[in-house]
Amino acid sequence: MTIARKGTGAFGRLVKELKRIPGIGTKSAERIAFHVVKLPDELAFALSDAIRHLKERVRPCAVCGNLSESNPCEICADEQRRGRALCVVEETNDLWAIESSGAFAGRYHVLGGALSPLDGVGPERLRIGELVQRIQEEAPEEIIVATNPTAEGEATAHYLACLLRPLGVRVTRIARGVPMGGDLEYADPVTMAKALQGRADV
Amino acid sequence: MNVASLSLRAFRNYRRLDLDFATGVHLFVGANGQGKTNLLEAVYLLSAGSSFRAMRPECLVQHGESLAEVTAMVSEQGQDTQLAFRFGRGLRAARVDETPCRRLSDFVGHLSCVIFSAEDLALISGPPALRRRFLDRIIFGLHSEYLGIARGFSQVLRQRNALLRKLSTTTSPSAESEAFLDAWDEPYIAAAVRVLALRWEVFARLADAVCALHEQISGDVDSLRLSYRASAGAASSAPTEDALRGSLETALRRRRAEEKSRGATLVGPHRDDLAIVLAGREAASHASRGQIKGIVLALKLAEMELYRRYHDRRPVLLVDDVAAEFDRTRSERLFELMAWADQAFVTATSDEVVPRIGARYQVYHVESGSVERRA
Ligand SMILES: [Zn+2]
Repeated sequence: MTIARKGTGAFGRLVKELKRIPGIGTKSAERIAFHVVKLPDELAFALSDAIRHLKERVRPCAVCGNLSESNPCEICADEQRRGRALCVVEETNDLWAIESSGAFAGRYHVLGGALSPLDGVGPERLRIGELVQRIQEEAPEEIIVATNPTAEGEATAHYLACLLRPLGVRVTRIARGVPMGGDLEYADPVTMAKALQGRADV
Repeated sequence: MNVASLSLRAFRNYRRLDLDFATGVHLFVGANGQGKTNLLEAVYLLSAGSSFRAMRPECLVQHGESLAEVTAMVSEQGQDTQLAFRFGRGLRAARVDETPCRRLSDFVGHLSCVIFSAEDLALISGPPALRRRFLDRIIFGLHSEYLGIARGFSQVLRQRNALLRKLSTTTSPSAESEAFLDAWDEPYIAAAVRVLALRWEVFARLADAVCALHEQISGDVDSLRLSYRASAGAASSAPTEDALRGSLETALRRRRAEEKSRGATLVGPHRDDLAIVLAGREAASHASRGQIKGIVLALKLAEMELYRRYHDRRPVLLVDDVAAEFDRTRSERLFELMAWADQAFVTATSDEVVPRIGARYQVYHVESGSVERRA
């Protein structure tokens, strides 16, 4: 059976592509590839179509960085949310976690990561210039910094606070409802709502 | 806590050994190279999952064999736990009561040991990192949250150092580099304060216990003083978190230029040390080997005393080559103190060290991989 020979042919190619996904090692990639081989054709093609569709349609919102099929995204397009607080998060999945708590009615700004000198990520690699521009244009009443409670998230929060305060806008940081070293993504809606309510000026 | 039985298979020079132990002091006597220390090493292996002689477990397999196994029944307040550690090239399997452990951390901690061997003398004369590790290891055992706190600190330290390294090699505008550093100072200080708060708490108790125990060992001739030497500058004996924060802030501000040019964080728990002063003089440079041994012993016994106070648990005491460089008075005092552990395993080259005191002990003669119990 030549298709299963590791690292060669069509099978090896899929394994190689799957391994690019964070958290997927050789074993998992091979398991998924075997599963795909056994799938009925229409289900396997539906999977590849879904990937193609996703890449063709979903783009970062030009305003906030949220992933969306429309541009600007639904949240930025919602006039009700305009001029209120602006919530700054590291990644889109953090935005979704806050959205699902239902405790926030303003707009978001996705930085695309957090400061990390070890990985060579300085402020210039994050969407901070865009944030400053938005604050000047949209004049939000408050900036809520909701970066993760990790060393990187805290450093990013402090950097933003020092940078944004001179603009005359109120800057707050979400409360430590989220466990230290944890990830917003994994906080339950109730914890998230409490963290948002308990925010403090920085 | 005590080891009720110990079995070795293809471990070092023991092809097959099965021993039962009561509580009290167990003294292994034999010439050098006969395998006395290997017995302590086996017990230690079950407690830490590694050798105290800094060897990879696969190096402990008997020559010509591929697999070794050490098992023991450990008793703690009437509860028995079976520990088994099997290892060889490319294999490490640990079981607790026949249940395989997925991680080493599930295995360590069932048996608490305090070891005292020649390697430990470096604790006084070696680099500060050894003393920090000694203190940190005690804190890990006493406060389960310290592991997370220490990891959090080392992560933010690595980040801050990476930034400083970058700033030391590039010529970015100084206002900008100041803002970059400011951003990391706050999480750095917060993480450092969390480490230091527990360090100071445990250190204060350790220092008290060490001084009292050292007095008992040395017979009150030399006074021992221990102090925590903080890189952030002198502090009171029990600083509050605010005081710790304040001294870190001040020291970081004062040394910022130096940090930027050297590309490393120079102030914090990773730069602290324990100062050990005997009769008014720095022990590292002035104490004799016998005195150093007495101090290290006091440190180790103090470690046991802290376990007892915090967890109401007495670790098993392991003492390698008890008599070397100890005079008769000190050896006798040591045996008195040993009796105060539930159980102690001790090696010596001759049974002359067996004191005339009332400690319950059992002597074994060790010769080329066989262990014989003496009446
Ligand atoms: Zn948007």
